[in-house]
Amino acid sequence: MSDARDDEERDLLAAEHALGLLEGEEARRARLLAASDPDFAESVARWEARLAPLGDEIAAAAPDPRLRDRILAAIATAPGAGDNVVVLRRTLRRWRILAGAMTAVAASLALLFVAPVTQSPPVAPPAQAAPMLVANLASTNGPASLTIAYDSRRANLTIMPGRVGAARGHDHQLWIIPAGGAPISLGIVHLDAPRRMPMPPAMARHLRPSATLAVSVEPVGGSPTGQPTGPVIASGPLVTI
Amino acid sequence: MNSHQINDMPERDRLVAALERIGQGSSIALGELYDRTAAKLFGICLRILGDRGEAEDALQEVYVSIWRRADSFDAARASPITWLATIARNRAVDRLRSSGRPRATAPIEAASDVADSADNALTLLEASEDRARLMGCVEELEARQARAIRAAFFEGNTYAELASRADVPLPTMKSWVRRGLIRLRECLER
Repeated sequence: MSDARDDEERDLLAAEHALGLLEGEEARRARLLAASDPDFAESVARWEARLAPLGDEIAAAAPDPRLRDRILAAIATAPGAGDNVVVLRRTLRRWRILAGAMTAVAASLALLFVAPVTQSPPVAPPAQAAPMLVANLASTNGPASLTIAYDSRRANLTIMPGRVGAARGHDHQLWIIPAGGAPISLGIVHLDAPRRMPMPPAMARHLRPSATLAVSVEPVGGSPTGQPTGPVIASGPLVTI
Repeated sequence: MNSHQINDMPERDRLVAALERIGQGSSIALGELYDRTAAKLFGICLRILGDRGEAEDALQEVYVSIWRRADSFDAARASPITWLATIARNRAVDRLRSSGRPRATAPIEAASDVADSADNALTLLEASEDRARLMGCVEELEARQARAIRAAFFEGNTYAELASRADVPLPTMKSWVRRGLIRLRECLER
């Protein structure tokens, strides 16, 4: 009895999600379900298919003729399906070449990030034995950018979001890619405000100057595979300052 | 595949073939898909966003999204144009939500009984049975249920916006829409 009612409730939630009727907490719950529960995702897809023929009523309209070239240029730099890891590796190679030139930029960005996060005690000048690492993550395709600093003495990561869209219906996941290695998740990051993340030793040991940091778009709750599955919105090398 | 074969294919098969090649990374195939579908998908974005610039930005996101997700398209489970149109509608609705702009504040009655003309090839492609059935089922709904569901679909309205446009309390609107959706599903599954 109550199972049937639950099923009906979930199917209606799927319909509401498919139509985009929900807001706030309900919308969040539906997105979470759609990302995590294949049965629910299937219900959403069934509703989308049921309602799609309504769209036949919408008159076609010609977009600006220049849009075609704009889109083809955008996909030339966008990661295609399934090749995000390849793109990360390519990005890594490119960044290694630039790493030397980046050091000066990273140092100036490091000054920027210290200022807004002043609730905690002032950061001591990095000692020789415990360097500060900084990565300026830029987009391969668009304006996304953020700066991440790693304080190896305190074993924490400071994340300063720059121009990054809010995660709507998905999460942003941070990865460290050791030189020549596969991406390792550092966890979900919230790019709405400057934040600190403690780094457990298992993750901290990968945070070295030869590694690259990258942020990918993943289903709510993070990549289901342990490797990046969605588009990489920004990446950049860690450099010592 | 030579051009004769392509020209002989039904439209649906051409779209499926293009999506398959896009999934393998062919940007030429994306260009071809764009030529066949941009007007339809732009129509959807424009209808929901009501602004050409916004709709063009949304359309770009739509094709980038198609580029990334083409390998997840399964021709055995979905019609290509339904899949594409759904991506377009969802991207446009997301964009509408994130813009925070108030939209479609006119009374519901004024906006959503106007059926647009639809005379492009893609429409005819699937204008078939599915559409006739859905239209038949929508006609069986109470007028206020049908109006609300159509406004949600075409204008991307939320429950709160629908309630305000119809000047009824939110729970009333939810109940209209939910009862309408249940009836629609029952009718389509008969």
